[in-house]
Amino acid sequence: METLNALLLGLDQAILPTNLFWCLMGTLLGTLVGVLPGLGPAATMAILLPFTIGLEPVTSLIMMAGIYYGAQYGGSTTAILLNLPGEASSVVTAIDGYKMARNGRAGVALSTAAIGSFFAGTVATLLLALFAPSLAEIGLLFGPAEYFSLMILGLVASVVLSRGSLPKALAMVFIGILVGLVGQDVQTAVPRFTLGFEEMSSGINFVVVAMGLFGIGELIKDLETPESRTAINAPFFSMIPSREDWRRMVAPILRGTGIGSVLGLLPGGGALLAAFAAYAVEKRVANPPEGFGGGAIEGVASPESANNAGAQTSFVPLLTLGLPANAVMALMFGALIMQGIAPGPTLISEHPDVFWGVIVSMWVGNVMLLVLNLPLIGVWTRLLTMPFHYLFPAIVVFCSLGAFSLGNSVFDIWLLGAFGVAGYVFAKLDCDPAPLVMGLILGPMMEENFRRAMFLARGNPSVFVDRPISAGLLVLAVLAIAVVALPKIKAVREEAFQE
Amino acid sequence: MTSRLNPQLIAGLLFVLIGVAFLLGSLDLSYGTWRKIGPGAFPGLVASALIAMGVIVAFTAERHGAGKEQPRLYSSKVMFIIAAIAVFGLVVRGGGLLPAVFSCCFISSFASRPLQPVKSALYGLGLGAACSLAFIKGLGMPIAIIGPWFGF
Repeated sequence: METLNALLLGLDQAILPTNLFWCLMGTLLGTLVGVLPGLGPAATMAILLPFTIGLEPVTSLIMMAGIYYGAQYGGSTTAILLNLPGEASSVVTAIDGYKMARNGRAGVALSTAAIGSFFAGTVATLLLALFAPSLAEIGLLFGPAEYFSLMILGLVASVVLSRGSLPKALAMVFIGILVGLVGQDVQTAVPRFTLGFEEMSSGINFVVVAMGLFGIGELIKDLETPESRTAINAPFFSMIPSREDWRRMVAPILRGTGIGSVLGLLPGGGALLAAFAAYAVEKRVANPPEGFGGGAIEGVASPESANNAGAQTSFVPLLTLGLPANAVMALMFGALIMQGIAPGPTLISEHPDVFWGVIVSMWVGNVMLLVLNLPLIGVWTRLLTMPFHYLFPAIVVFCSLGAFSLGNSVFDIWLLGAFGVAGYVFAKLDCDPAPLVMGLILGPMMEENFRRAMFLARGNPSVFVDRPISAGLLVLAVLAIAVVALPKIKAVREEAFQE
Repeated sequence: MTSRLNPQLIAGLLFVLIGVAFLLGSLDLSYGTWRKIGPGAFPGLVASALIAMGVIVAFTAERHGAGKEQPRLYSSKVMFIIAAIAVFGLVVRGGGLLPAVFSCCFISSFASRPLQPVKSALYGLGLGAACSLAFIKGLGMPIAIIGPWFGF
């Protein structure tokens, strides 16, 4: 009953005309960047963050969330029609989805993806509503020691699940933490690593770093890969799945939703991991397995359900514990902070309108995507032919303007340029910037909780292992590292990211 | 593959370099005591860990990086994009938003082919006008459309 009342409160927020409008804008924008290869949801959110300051907190979050799950839809559209996964999370969809399109079943593949996504989105919203409040109550029991250990676990998980080698990803986390520590020390007001710049005493703005690394960095990388995009008009036959199709997609959708919901909850999880795992599971249970890779509807239904479920449940750790599970959630974290709201266990009780409004809006947004996107597919694929040389100067302008508008400071523009170069260099050196952003967000909080815990424990570092919850979290973190370091699992992991 | 400078090695050295810089910086700060940890301790710890990771990355370089092509770090495209951002920063206060957006857009368009200067200039003007309208007239950004440099 309580949940129902809360959902109604959320519905009140979600159907306000302004919120509906920005939800629509977010989902449309998300679909657009999902369709266009190269520009991911993280980059888009980073570029748009400075411009959301003027919106109400709940409105800006609704729009940001819309970009994230809208991108999942858009990514699958081009994956199916053109074998061009616009998003990393729809890479596996392209395998069977494109084959279906080649077999003249593009319409069915698209509607399967949409149905699966919608079902998964609905279930994930309900799960969020049911379990998030109790998780937040657990979060309220956390002291500084538990928080420190939780953040260690979050960082470790994000490293374990990132691309590339483990030491490299760890190094990126450490750089992120160090960059996050620049500025005045909270406890002693001593300036740290500011190189004497007055502008740096309040710290390096997270948004500028994210825009530089994701926005500018990705842009330069895209410019170096020659344009070779041609939109093929895949033949549309029927959008309506046959009775046989329905029969075959039910179980994969259910499995995908389950896998996605669970994997989205894990720190470090999210849409990408969910889609890969769901496809792997489906391949294993497929009977017969030969159909896979040749246009099996299961290969579309399951990962598409999983990535949408994962995208939504990955909000849980952020909204209940204040722990961003991946780089996109780190950007949501940044958006909340910019709006003056501290993400954490008190969010639900102190800002119920924000919490429930965002949750219900995700469901509303999914309805919009279902209703609007299928008829618009023709428009989206035509957008692919838009020449990139019109898009990218606008992106450069928006990044510069966004950096400037954060504090009307030209210094932030210099920082943007510097982090743009850094993003490019990291990309060239094959270093994923996502762990850096995680470290940047979590670093300062880690230090604060570490110092506070040590103070409360009178300088005894055993506090982190004496307290059961804290010890449990640390054990999980160590296990995660150990598991990845084991040669056998390492091979499997590398294989999974190869696909 | 004769060059020892593969991306893995460069990354490792870069990590060590950044780590050392932050470690040196942290030495100027107080490390405090176990009970009252100072502002330098945590960064010092993290910087040391970064150096350690850098060393690991650099030492495992040959195995991982074998056969990979050496990355070309220099690219004129980067220069144009960075120059566009820098010019925006230089112009926006004195010149105003319209000239800043125009020059930023125009310079960054040099990073791509085919190069069409007239089209780019027109596009820059249009974008500048649109931004001025949206951000200054619409959202009330406290900046001039045409700034003091032009006698306004």
